Amino acid sequence: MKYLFLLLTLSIVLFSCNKDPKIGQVTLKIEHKVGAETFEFDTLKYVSPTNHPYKITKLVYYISEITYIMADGTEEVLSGGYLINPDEETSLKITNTNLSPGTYNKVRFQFGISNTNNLADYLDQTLNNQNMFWPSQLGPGAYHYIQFEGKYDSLSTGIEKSFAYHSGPTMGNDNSFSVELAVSEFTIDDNSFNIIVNADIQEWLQNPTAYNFPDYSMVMMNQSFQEIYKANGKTVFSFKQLTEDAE
Amino acid sequence: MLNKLFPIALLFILIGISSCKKDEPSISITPYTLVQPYKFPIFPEGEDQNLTEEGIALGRRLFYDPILSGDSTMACATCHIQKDGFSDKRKFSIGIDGSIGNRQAMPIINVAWMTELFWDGRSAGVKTQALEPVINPIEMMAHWDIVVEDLSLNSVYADLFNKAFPKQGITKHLVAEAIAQFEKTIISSNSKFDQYLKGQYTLTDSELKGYNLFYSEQADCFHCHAGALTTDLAFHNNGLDTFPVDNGLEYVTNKTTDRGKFKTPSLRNISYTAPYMHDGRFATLDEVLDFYSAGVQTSPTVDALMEFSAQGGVTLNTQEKADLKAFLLLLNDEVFINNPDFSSPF
Repeated sequence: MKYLFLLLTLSIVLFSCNKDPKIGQVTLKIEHKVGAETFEFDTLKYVSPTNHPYKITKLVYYISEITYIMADGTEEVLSGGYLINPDEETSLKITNTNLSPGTYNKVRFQFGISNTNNLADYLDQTLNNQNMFWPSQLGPGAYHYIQFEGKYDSLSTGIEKSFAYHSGPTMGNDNSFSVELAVSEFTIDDNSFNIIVNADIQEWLQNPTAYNFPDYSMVMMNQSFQEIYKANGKTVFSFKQLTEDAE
Repeated sequence: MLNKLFPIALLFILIGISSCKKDEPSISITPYTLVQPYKFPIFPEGEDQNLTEEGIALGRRLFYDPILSGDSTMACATCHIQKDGFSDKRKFSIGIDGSIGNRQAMPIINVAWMTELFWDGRSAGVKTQALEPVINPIEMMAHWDIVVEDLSLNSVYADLFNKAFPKQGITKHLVAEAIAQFEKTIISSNSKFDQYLKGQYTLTDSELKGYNLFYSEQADCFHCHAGALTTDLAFHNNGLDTFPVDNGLEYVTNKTTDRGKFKTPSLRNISYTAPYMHDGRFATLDEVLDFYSAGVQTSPTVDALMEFSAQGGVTLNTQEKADLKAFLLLLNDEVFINNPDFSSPF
């Protein structure tokens, strides 16, 4: 009988050592849209506030220092920058598995990377991050905040023209900005929540300043453009929904 | 009786557990670690970087051996020549039966960072890339089963394969794996530009002006020729033609929105890798600079970064072109071109 017990103990030890204790986590999920339209690359289906039909050919941007804020004001920061690309599904979900137990009701992040953090070693030197390199010739800083590119119908000629709206620390100006969203209250213990955030790309072109595509080119060195971009960017993100994963 | 049998059973179980990982005496394999040069990106996830000295040596021999071609006259190295930056000076390479290709041989430089190979990205990784030219009817025109048989009958290769991949025999996938291991070691990171980044070289006045132009919005080279690799490894239509003869990436994706898009080539060893573009249409760097300055064509898929395509390009004056060229020449790497580790073992 005692050997049976020994065998049983041995098998419990062998089979249980890989099991992780269950911990709580929260995932920030970004969903893109363009006004009332679904987000889609390479399709001339959007209309700018100055009535230019346009399409998006590229959209990549950073959000950084994602901060979850408790009802009592305590903050939990997920350090680092995260490259968002609607073309790469995995980039649209950022999970924090180290959130302290508690009740949260806000999330905040930096759009782009603040001047304090915009140094080469802030991010891993992946190819994707190197492709967001910001040259020192355009001002101190290591990375673009966003590369938003597309084509618009120039109307007068019927020819499609390009736009390439890139933002970053133009001549050292900190053009990144903070986004703080009130979210449905959730209490983390050993459960998992998803905070779904909408990113409405049309807002970048229209609110409060309506862009006219032909008015802007070579924007990386144009601080007045960067100021408009920054102001318009503040309404791009909004809280959509809180969901809890099944046990 | 049952109680007496349990200790014996337990003993057998423990012996079984402890003995299952026992290796038989094996042939020694020497791991080889690729070094990430200064300012270079980290190696891509998912790409196997487990190289061995034996695998690399085998791959190097295979790369230079015409045994891989249909009539034993042509090796990988026939069209990827070290002194030409592992590219081909000919506009289009010529296959074993005289067939002429339709794209410039891509330089094999820093492929350890690449996950999509060929101008149109049709090969998903260095390992699978090597499988194609061997059987391509306008290139080496061989049959893999015959190549594998020839290699198996060759005692030198039988020995080398057994050292690199013990007890795995010889297969086309192991041939490709060995060649990929060698190709991943073909790293260029010792140009004057690398030395400048390390503070070991001072730019001349013209090189500095060219450097500043390269990273300016005016010339705007740096978005596609990004980072230390001088390529974003992405696909763009750079405005060569309004109606491309070669549809490039569209052949792979079947999307008309990818028409005329080709992989951004590295600018490293730029003097050696002429002629330029996917079809080798430009024989000299001056022609390339003239094109970006005033020869760019518009089309529905021309890249948005070719912002000035409607006016023909970025409009550089003669001095600016000279400065830009002076900077580009800094990307030549004499150490790479003459590195004996990359040369023929025969």
